[in-house]
Amino acid sequence: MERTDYFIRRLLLVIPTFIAITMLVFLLVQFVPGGPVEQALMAMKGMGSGEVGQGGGLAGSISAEQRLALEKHYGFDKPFYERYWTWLVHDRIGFTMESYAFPNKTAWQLIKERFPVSLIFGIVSFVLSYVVCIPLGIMKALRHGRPFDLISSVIVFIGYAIPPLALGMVLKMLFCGTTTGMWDIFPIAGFHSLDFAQMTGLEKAKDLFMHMFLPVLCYVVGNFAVLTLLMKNSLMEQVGRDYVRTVLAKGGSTGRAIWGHAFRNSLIPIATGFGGILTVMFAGSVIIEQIFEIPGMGRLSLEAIVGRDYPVFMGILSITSILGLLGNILSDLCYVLIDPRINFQS
Amino acid sequence: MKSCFRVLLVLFFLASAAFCDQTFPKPDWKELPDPVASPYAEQGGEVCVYIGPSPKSLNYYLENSSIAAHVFSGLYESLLSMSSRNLEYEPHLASKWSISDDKKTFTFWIDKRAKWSDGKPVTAQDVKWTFDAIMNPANKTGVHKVSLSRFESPEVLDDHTIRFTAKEVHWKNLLSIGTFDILPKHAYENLDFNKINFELPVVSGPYEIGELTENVSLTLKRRRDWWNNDAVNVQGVNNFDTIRLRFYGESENAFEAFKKGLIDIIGVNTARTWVKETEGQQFADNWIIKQKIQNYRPVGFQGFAMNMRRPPFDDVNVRKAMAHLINREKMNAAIMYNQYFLHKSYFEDLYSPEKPCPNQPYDFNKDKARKLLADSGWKVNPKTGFLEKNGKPLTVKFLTRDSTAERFLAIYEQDLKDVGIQMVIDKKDWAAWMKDMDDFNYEITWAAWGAALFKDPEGMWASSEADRPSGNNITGFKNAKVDELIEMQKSIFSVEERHEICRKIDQLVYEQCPYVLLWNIDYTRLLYWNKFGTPDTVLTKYGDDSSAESYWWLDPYSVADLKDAMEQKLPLPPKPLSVVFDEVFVDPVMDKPKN
Repeated sequence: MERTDYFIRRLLLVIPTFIAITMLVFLLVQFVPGGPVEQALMAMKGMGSGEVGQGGGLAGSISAEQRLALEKHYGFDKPFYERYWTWLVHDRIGFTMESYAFPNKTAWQLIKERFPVSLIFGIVSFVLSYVVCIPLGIMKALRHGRPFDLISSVIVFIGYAIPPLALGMVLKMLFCGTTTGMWDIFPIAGFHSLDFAQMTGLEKAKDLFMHMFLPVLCYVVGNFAVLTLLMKNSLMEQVGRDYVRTVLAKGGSTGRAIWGHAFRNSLIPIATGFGGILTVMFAGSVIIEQIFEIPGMGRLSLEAIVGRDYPVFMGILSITSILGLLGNILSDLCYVLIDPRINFQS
Repeated sequence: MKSCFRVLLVLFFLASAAFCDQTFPKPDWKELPDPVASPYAEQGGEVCVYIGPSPKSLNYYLENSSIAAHVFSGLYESLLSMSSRNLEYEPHLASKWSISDDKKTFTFWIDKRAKWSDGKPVTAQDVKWTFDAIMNPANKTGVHKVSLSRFESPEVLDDHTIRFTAKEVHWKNLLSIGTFDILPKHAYENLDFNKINFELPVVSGPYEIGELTENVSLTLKRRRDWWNNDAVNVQGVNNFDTIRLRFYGESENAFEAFKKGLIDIIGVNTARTWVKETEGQQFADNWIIKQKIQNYRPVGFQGFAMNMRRPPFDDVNVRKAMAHLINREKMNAAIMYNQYFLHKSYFEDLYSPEKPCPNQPYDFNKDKARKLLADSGWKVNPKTGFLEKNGKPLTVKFLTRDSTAERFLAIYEQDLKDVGIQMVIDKKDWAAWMKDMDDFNYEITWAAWGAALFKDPEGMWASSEADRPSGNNITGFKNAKVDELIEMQKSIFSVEERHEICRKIDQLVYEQCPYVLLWNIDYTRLLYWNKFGTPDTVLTKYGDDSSAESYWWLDPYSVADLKDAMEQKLPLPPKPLSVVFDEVFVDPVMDKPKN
């Protein structure tokens, strides 16, 4: 019963925590230089930088009245608390607000469009990571110190050490047909081909697979090391415990000791990160989405931050905050399911 | 009495002749073929070009981006067009126009043949509605308001006649009202203008929107029912049935896609890509053509802008010392493969071998810099090695927003240090940089400016613009002589006379050294798959790589040759690496090479 109370309390705490987070960020946003007004002014002028001048031909001057009109349009003529209240209640945590950067869409519409793409990548990466890492960690634990353990450690650490940016570039050079003498197997970038709409179901699946293969590889390769070693070390720790030794001393087989007793307990550390997967699935990866031109949440977040697109930025923040808070509760729930001894009373 | 009446009558006619409006085009004007368009051009096919990241809006009046400008130019038309031969105004939606003697009233007669894509005629009401929509304070039309704000709201005289009245005389007046794109009132008047972004169903121009796939591509479809299809000056132009604009967030991805054949034509913006990444069989066997096109495209300038409103850059000697301390030759050679010319003017394209630029370049010379700084009282503190005046060290804060600038700044920083100037790099993102610039809260920063065909020095060099936030006079430049020349050129209608004034302004500005001038390029670096027919000049007289979409055509023989060559791994005949407009241009009407 106390467990139910605990989870109800945790769920109720989500609301004030959420308001505190968003209010703080909303306040901070006021102090970030270069808001939407400056962005709008910048868009009106033709300036560039770099090796060669890339300025536009129509470099114009903006009048003070136009600047004031922009400030009024974006609501910067009102006090902070009034704007926060409008955002929270009237604009439904900003979801019904128009994006500053894409004025024909609301923040929610933009998030809704990009979310499925990141979700697909998130689910595939999540499943792949767990399907590969848990068995691999167990095999490494069982073969601790043997050649298999050493070689697999070297491989997963190389994967961990290579930044996704570098890996992405190397994979593209090797497998995308842009370097003479290399293979041309996968598309360079994008989520699907130009003629995706005209394809049959099977062709669509194949097209998506080809577009997703390299980015997913970049997503998961770096994650393998952490999860695999967590699993291995956790299992080894459990194997060394007294209760496992007792099982063996009482004549139980190694298999029974490991699968019947140690395995379940060794999953507790893995479950710690389980709740966090909710935010990972939603957030996407900024770097990988940039390299492979995937229109997911990672790119949207980056564009929103760089472009000071506050409605979208705050919308993403709201969702990730809620998912993060719920994820923590989910992790706790996983603990309870794995280990019934856990008591929240204390 | 009779003779008196005759005299009065003659006087009346003379007076009315003197004060009557001038009507254009002149009676001797006749429509000529476009001098660049090839008579061999064939219509049909598709071309795929890279245009940049997925656009936020296609409405150029709301989104002042090159993508929106590009799309709008195919969809909508203005009252007048400009001759690609000599930049003179020619009839377009307006078949004729008149200018009053005081140069303030402009009347346009709209061509009765001009039609929207839904069959309705283009009328004076469309022109007035577009003007009013741009000027409506509720509409976020930004900079477009500026050029039209010199006019009263236009007056509709009848369905096909409209009159504009300017508040003051300025040579830009005709340019402003003659060349803004007209939108269909009947299709858009009941919509919220700020929400017309991607749905642009009714057009008057040669193309209409095909399909838009966000983050992937946009197609423009050629209209076979375009009202002006039979005009003499568009023969050989607008040849492709479909123009596909591909979007990539990263230009590197676009370049990779080009090499793979997913994009047909691409302009190259960096020296490293041009020199180091155009290797391999596709280039060696001329499946991909690599060409430098030198024409009359306006050249802007770039440099390190110094804030002259505050110390230490309120001192011309310090500014000149900064110019003497940048080793541009080294940077050009070490980082940019010697691809660029070094600036010595703010209006580079106004000079020619016949009119050479008299400005003496600020050479890399530390001794000159030391002397200039010493003249202003800066002395080396023997303890620190840095220059000081009144106990204050000479430290400059470089405001930057671009990581590519860092490798150049590393060299500059070292050379400044050698003479005792400490440079602190303050890195910010675009938005934060812009905020600092608007507040004049910077000391020195990198700024690159594009150039227009018709030069207007007011925004950047007038004293009246120096203290206004969000303006283009970012250095705070003020000079009475320059102000006089700026005022003078406003009422001069001869381009050549105005250019002469701009050259004088340039020399006065150059002497004050508001920018540490850097480098630029005066040709277009072009790569394209070898399957197109092109005019001899490849690009137009003033155009960049985007002019290929209008003037090139898909050549079936070249397409077949390319296919065979790629299948059999054989080379194709080469094309000249360098094309200079003046060397290959022959005007079919004048029948002689143009200089």
